[in-house]
Amino acid sequence: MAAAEGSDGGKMIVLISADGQRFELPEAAAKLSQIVLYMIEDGCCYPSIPLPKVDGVILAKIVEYCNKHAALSSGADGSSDAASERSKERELKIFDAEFIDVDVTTLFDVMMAANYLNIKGLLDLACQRTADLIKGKSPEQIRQTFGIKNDFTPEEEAAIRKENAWAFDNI
Amino acid sequence: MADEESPRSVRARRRRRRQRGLWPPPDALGSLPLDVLDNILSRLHIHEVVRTSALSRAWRRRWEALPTVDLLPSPDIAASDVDALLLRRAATISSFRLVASDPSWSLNTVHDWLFYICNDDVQDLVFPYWHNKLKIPSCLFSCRELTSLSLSFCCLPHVPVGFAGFSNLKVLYLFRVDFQSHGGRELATLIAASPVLAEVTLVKALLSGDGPDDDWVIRAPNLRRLIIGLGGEYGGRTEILPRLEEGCLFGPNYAKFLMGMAQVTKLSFYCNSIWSTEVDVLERLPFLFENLRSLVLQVNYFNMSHILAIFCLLRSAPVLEELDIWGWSKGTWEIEANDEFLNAQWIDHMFAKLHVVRMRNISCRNNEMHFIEFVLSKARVLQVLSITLAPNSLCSNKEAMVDITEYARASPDAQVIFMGRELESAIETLRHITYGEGGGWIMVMDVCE
Repeated sequence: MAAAEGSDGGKMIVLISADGQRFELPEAAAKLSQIVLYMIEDGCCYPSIPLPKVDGVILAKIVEYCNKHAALSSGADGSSDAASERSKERELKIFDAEFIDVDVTTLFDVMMAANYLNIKGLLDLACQRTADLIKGKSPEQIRQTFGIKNDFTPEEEAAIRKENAWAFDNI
Repeated sequence: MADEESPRSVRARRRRRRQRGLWPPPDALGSLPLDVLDNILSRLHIHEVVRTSALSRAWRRRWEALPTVDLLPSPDIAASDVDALLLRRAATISSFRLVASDPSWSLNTVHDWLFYICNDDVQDLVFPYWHNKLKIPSCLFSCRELTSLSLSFCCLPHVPVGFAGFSNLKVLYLFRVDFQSHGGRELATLIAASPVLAEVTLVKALLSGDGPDDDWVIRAPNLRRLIIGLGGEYGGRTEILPRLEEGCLFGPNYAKFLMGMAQVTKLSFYCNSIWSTEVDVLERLPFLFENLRSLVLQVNYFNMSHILAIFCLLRSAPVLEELDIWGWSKGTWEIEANDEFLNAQWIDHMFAKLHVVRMRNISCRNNEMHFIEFVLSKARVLQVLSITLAPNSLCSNKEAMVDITEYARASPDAQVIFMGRELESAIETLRHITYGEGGGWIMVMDVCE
């Protein structure tokens, strides 16, 4: 992803991914990460902030998320009436749904990065998506989704189902 | 306990095993940081959480270690499931949230759960119990780490002598909770012993043995939001609440609670059940609400004390920007609030910053029309006046429009918007917040939002 434009003339922050890629984004977007926020407050953000735990591909996603949320939540266009608030909320909801519709590996990478960077909205979004992938599925389906190896013998699995029978009623 | 060993020793053993790396190697989902995985699992129905035990050896006991037991997404849970859930747990509970209950649950069962849940580590407790009044055990007061406590339909035990306080409690929500003898003082003690309280909601509490003359004080230096709809004629007052941002008062003899609320930015005051003597209290408020931007009122335009009360508040709110008034006109006329009467209520700075007025449930009686005319003729920076008619309004939207568009407007920018009639559902909400009618006091919350 290319560097974001500082169209409103605000300060720009540069993030460097583990593999050395540069991402430039408005300070308001960068501040959605609690960790980056602390670094900015402590003046440790120049010339750039290295993020050695986040890969470039994932950081690109994170920057995309922060840019969109910062642009839509700050009342950047000056309007603040209820109708435009609602339409912004709708737009963010649609964006979030599309943004998080990714394969499990990417989902987990985004989740780990959101956890590390402490971006609460994104972490909750990823956790909710993961929960949705578990919901309504049988243990076997969950194993398939997340690549979990079943190391029980059939007898052991039957015993566990029996032990917690109250939760297995309909499965 | 189902386990022969105590849960603590089991936990310690597991921790040691995990540290030594003897735990079966987990998968990607199972290797997520503990709090992230807790976050994911807390979004599932409890049955789905427990079913993860069948995924693999690594997952077998994972659910037992979940520190939060959030049953809010599991409204249909059976008592025996809650039993199984609590008995099989390996971790102490830091958060327990239960949404509804079943009439078949016995008091003893629920009591046992509380004994189990109330421990040193619990921080967040949401415990509604709707069918019989549950006596909360005194062990509640030993939960020193509580940050949030929400109880419904239960009796609180006496605050024990030497109670160390809830030093971290930020949110207290009590709905239909009974306090025992000297109930007001008990309530005041509980609040005073929780120094960081930021939000207190008291709806339909029973303060046994408390009467209008009892003196007790709500003292809460960090309180941001206070909702009082106790539902009875109780005593008590507030000390100055220096950080209060939002207040909501709903009940008889409650104007006195305003004394500590000079700082509020948002205030809701429901006149429905005020005493006529409370107008004196409002008249003599020793301060102006210097920060009050948004005021929500409910008023019967036929009732003299109601009209006087709202003008007392309007005169005391020099920077008011938004005004919401729910009409509730019924009963007999006590007063014709005509131009002369209304002009006598006027003082210079009134409405100085008023931008938005929303008048709801208007039935187009004389007093209501006088009030609309008065607002339009006095509010010099008004931008929007919206009017929603009562279902039983005397006028149609069109007729109201014809009358009201002819009123003189002090503000050149003022727009009048006619919203049609109230939906029955909105009125239903309003009916529930009327003192003494129905049991849906919780609806007061909807209006406060």
